[in-house]
Amino acid sequence: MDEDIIYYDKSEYIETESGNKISRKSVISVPQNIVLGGKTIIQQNCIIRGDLRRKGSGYAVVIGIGKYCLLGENSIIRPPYKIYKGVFSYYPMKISDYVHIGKRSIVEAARIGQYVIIGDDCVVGRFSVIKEYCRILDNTVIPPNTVIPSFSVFGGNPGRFISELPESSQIIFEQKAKQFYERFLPKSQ
Amino acid sequence: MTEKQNLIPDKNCISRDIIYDGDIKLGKGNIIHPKAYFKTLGGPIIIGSYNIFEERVVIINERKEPLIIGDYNLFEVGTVIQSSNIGNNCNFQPRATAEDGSKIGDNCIIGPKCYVPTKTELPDNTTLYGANKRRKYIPIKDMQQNLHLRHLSYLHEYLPKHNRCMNL
Repeated sequence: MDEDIIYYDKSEYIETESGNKISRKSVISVPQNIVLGGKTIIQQNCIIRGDLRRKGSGYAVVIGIGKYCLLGENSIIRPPYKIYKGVFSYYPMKISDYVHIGKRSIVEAARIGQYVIIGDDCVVGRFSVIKEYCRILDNTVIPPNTVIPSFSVFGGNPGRFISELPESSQIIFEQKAKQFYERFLPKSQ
Repeated sequence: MTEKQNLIPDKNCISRDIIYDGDIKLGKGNIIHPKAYFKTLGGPIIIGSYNIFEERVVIINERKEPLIIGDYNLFEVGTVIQSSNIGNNCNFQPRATAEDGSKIGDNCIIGPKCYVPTKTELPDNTTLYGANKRRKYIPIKDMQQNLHLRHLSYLHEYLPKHNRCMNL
């Protein structure tokens, strides 16, 4: 699986100690509330809202992102909200390892499991839960409060179950995610 | 209802990180998140009270007549409104689009990625969902407004804490 190397402008991206590559053109509000697991790529014009959090003071993890994740161009990650026991608040969001989110996608899920690929132009509704080893096709709309089971392919508007994935998909997805990180290199002068 | 309304301040809470151009009139108690986009090429944009505009909302007026938006509307991420009038208590879910010259009544819900074609009039209490299948039903208005008011009062308290905001 030899794919083309993706070059980026070195002045545009910040590389942290744990290998995260974050575009300077992305909007990350309140970075104290966001945890990155390492080797995560955040591309340009991505919006991550860390300021929308539960009531109360002090430090809180609003958005946790695992390792080897990719947040594509123009994607928006914002935590979900609801009224619980008469109190309105935003709730934390967890994105596990090896999750790819495509370009122009909007994600308001509660939890995304390991090894998930979300395509381009998707909308993931509030408090939806995506379990491990899933694939969301391009242009899918997942309604709020949906639970997507493991090893499934979802697509359409509204999102429906389309097919199953083989058990080997873990290895394939892991390889894909790792290879993407290795292919994402600074342009040499 | 009237008691809860008192919780919301009359000031508009507008993030500084927005792009705007032309004649825009705001009512009171509106919230605009960062990266929203407002533009007028002809007539003014007149926005009512207690609306929420989330990220990447685009509102463009290209006509000579004013673009009028009512009260208690929620515009979620990536909504595009092009020269169309909007009533009260509407909910535009992510990436909803209202095209040129359309007119949307009260209590409407436009689902994610749905679009209202040019020069159509949506009657009150309409819901658009899925691949533009049209349905009509009457939402529980009180409950929706309750959620909206709580959302507003939360954002009025927390948005200025972390973002640079203008209070107008």
